[in-house]
Amino acid sequence: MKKAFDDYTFLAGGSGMNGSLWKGPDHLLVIEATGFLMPFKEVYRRIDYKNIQALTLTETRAYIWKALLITLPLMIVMAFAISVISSSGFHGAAWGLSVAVVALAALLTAHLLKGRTCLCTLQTAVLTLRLKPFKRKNKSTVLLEELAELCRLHQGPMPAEIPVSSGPSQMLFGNKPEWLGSVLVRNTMIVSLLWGLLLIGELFVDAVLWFTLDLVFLPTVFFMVIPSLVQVSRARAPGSLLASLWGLLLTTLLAGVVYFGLFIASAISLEKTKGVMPADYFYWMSSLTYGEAQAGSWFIIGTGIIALFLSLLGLPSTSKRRTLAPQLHQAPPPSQIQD
Amino acid sequence: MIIVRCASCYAMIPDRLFREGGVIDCPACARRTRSILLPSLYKAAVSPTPPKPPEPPGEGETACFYDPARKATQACDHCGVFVSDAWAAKWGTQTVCLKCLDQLRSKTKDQRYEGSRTLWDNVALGSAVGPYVIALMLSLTFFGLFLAVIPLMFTLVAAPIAIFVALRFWSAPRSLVPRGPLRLILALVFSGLTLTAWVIGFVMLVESATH
Repeated sequence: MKKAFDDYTFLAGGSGMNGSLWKGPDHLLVIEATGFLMPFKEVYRRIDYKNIQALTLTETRAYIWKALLITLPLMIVMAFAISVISSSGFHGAAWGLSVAVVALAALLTAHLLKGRTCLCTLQTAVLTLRLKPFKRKNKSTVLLEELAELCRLHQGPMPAEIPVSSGPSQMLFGNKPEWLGSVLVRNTMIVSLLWGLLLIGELFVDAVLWFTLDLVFLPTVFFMVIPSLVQVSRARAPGSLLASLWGLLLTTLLAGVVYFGLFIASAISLEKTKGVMPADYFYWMSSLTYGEAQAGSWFIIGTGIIALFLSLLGLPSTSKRRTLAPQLHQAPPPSQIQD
Repeated sequence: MIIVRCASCYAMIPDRLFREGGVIDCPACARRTRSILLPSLYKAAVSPTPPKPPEPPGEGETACFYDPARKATQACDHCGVFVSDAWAAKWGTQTVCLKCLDQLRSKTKDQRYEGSRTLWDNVALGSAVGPYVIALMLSLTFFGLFLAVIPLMFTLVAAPIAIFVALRFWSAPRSLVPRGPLRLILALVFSGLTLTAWVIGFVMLVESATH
């Protein structure tokens, strides 16, 4: 990407969906991108330095969640790789798993090195514009200072007499309403709790019904988590609830992928070694024990524990305790007012 | 009241909190927030400029081209008409009337005024590569593995579309930030390979059916 063109000098961003920022002679050029997977349209906003009133940076918790989202699959793949290597040596699948471990570890390291995540906005008298290219606190702080210096150059000094703010001492909240709980979200948590318990007991109970329920609960949780996430995202819900739902979404997706892979791989090898035909495979799987599952046993139990933990984490926040509104101060009736 | 909005939840926070310490925890979302307050935040509050009432032109004075009830105060740098303050806009060092500004931003495509642009090179590349990316994403999920066939089938339609877009908009302006035709070339190559694969597959299918 070019670092300068015409009168503009590059400030931040790239050619992706986040757009970019360019310093002009008397204005800031904000390039906003819209599209799917890649930008199909660019919208250009030119904001005069003299009109910029404030530059705001808010730290977000995405840093922690992103780290967890990378760590979780890293731990699972690493455990899986160790068990495969210890059982069958460094061959075949072990290579693939090792590459996945290295890639995920590199991703995690890069994420941690970049520093905390943030959101930045630019405020004028008529709009508050999110500056999407500013995503990491360390880098954004420096760039915002650079931008502020340019604005000060065009705006002159601060007024000698800064007006004292009047108005309510309480803050005025944004658009999102308060989280009041949801039946759907509570049911999602209960179903995922049951799924976690089913998974943990999977290898210890020899019953076709148990295995069938396990397979039914997996997509049920997945399809219940999606509308729940939509509901929770629309309100000012607790972070633990959001984290729990995102974690469940990732766990169900990952479990689905791994189960599918295991199912195919085991079916092929079992037909050759033990003569189990695909038609009987379902019954064979349902009667699988802890010892027989080998490396897969820890994955199944581990997934169950994660699902259980996530559902227990989110369950307390699914319904908010309703309290009576505080009584308003009532003015005395006119007859009691003394002159 | 002078307010600053939280960058995360857009809660309105009085500026005085930032003046005291610079960094606060947003009272709505509890996230650490830092704001750089600039002089223009206070200039409007110190000396607010009241809206000017329409001033009719005097004897021998020029009236605004768009609103004859107002006195013309400046001339448009593009079309040259005399306009009042209400009908003029400052664009960098230039003064333009609002009609010219609208035309420059939407129709004439003057780079200095342009409001938006369609990235046809990305559209072409997206059409050529997009179905494969979607198929890959679907195949990584347990539920969507079988659905991955749909975007792969769609390449039969998407590849000719990509070729058409790439050739039709070869010389059209790309992003405002200058860049070469690499994306268009990649789109043509991918689409060419996709169509070749479809032709080979179709020929093999016909041959196997006939033998």
